Amino acid sequence: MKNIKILLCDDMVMIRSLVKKSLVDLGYNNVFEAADGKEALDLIRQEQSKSDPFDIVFMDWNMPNMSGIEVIQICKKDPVLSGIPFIMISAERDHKNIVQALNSGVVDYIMKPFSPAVLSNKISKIAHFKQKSA
Amino acid sequence: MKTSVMNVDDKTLLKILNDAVRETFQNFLGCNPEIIQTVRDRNDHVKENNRSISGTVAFLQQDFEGTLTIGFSRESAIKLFKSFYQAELNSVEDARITEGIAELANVIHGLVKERLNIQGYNFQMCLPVVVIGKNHAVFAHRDCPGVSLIFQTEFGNFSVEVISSRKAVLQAA
Repeated sequence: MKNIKILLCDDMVMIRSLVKKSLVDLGYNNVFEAADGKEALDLIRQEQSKSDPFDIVFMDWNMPNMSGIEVIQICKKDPVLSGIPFIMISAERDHKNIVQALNSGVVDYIMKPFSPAVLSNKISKIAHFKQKSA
Repeated sequence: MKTSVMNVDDKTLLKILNDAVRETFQNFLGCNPEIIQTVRDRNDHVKENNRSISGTVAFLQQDFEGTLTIGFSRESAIKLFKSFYQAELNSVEDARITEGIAELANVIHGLVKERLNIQGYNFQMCLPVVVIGKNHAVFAHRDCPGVSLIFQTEFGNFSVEVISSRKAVLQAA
């Protein structure tokens, strides 16, 4: 299941580098990047239209143009995109915000700063779930 | 220092800051910063400062304002991010450094905010800003207490500074 298709969306190049390196170290090489919510939404729609949707989307919360939560809400309302699993990655640690993200439909929430081990654990769970449901 | 920087005692605040900085650097950068100095008089900090880039995030709630600033010399910032990106970097104006400093400030602020909110604050989410300039310093009203921690790493030193100001102080200024 290492060939799963991943979208990584964060406006900070540092976080994209960090997560991408962790994913590649774990054997996940099919990683796309987006620098803001709008770019991510365009990519999600583009890949879906090619019938080759993302298996997992890692999404930051606060970003220019369109926030991560907005992207998730738009996708969850769209019957074609609603099945894509989102993992929120954010420095926001308040309980009410985490609940808001979970209520928006994210399957998991990673708080910054995270260790590669945490990332590995989260992605393994999703990959296992995708494998079982395939 | 005549006044506590925040309503928590300074020992607790310093521990919260130190833990947040260490947690962030260990997870993101794989290094272990150690405190080598605590500066309680901001005039001293200004005299010794050789900051070329810093990231600042506000602490905001109804009756309270404050800032958290992480500051690096040019050399420290370049060494740190060269190691992180495994790439040649020559200027602190490189987006990989400015965004990196912003993200470090943002993540440290998130951890500190969470722990201060447990102590009774109600700080909201705020976005970081980055300032670039040789030997720049952070100034605030003289009645606003602050504290700086100087950390040492294999990439050089950096500082983390918290300045607070209750709204009453600002209004009287």
